[in-house]
Amino acid sequence: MRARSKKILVTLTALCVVFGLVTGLAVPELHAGPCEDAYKRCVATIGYSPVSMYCGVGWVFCKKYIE
Amino acid sequence: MAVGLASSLFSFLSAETGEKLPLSLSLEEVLSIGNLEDNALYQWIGVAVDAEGFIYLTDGMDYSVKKFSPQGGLIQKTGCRGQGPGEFLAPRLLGCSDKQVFVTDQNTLVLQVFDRSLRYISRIPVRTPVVDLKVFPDGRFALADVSIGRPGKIVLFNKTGHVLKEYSYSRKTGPLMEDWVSFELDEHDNLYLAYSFQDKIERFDGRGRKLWSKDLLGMKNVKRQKVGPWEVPQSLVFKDIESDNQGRLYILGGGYSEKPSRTVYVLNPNGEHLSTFFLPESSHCIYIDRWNFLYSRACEGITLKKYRIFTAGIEH
Repeated sequence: MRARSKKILVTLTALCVVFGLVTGLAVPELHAGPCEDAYKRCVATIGYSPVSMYCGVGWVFCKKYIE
Repeated sequence: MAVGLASSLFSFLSAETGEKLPLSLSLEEVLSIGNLEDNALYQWIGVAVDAEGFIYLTDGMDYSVKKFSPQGGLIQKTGCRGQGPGEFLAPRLLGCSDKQVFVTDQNTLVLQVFDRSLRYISRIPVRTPVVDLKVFPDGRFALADVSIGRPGKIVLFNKTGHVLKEYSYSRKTGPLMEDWVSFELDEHDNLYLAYSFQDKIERFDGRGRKLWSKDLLGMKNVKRQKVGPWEVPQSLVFKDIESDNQGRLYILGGGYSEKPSRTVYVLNPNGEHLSTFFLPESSHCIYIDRWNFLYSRACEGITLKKYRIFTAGIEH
């Protein structure tokens, strides 16, 4: 039971943490395209500027981890 | 700490691809760190091994760097959420020199430097978020300096963060993220690139001259998708590149490979395809230490696996 709880917790939080967004920006959604959702939120929040490199790098790390 | 010393032997056959290749590789699991029953790891991301066999991992879930003994016991841990010295917002990659451990953070433009007991030493500013990192035993380190709207570079620094050399591997700016790479830099400054969103592996010499370029999958274009206002590549072609102590290259394939995130292509330094094998579980990265042990992910990041690599066949 403890193991299952840990697995669920890890899975839920992983989607958010992998993307590396500032806490509060992203709530993980367990359906197809978690990286897409997180990327949209990131770009909408930070904007498309040199700073949005953060979003691009987040996209790469998310895809690496999720796929 | 559960340590799986069972000699479960996995075999990986290039014959599965139908291609006759000169080298056959197999892996034997020799160590497993972290499982669902313990709290050793939650979601490890970066891995590095020092000269004495100690294993360092970043854990994105608890904002930490962890040090494990060669037998797999957790012996040190540092870090918490924050932007102060020794704190992280999104710890990612790390590398070991003989004396220090360098750690990247996806959301802050610094490399944090720790001693091998994970005591914070200093931070080194970087220009862009880091997508790949290589640290040499003498403290030099190299970063993939990728950006948007500017050709990509690999930059080699001395141990205090002064630029020693730049490799401008891309001359033009293409679609978003097109020239982003994972890289490997050998002791002779030869640079090997595995493109994240192109079917392309390349080698440059120490003067930055391209020696060869090849594809492994026969792909022309990577699918792109519109996400929000931007078109981004849909899937990774190659996830990571590493080399062993004989100079062989190991390239982890992404979503377009026969077994996504499990297929590893092995090339010699001249770019000739020697073998292909499959990891038991999908992984976001691979790491090969100085003794040629291979490390990869299991159990969605709760577990790190260490394998011995066996080779058979004649390498041409």
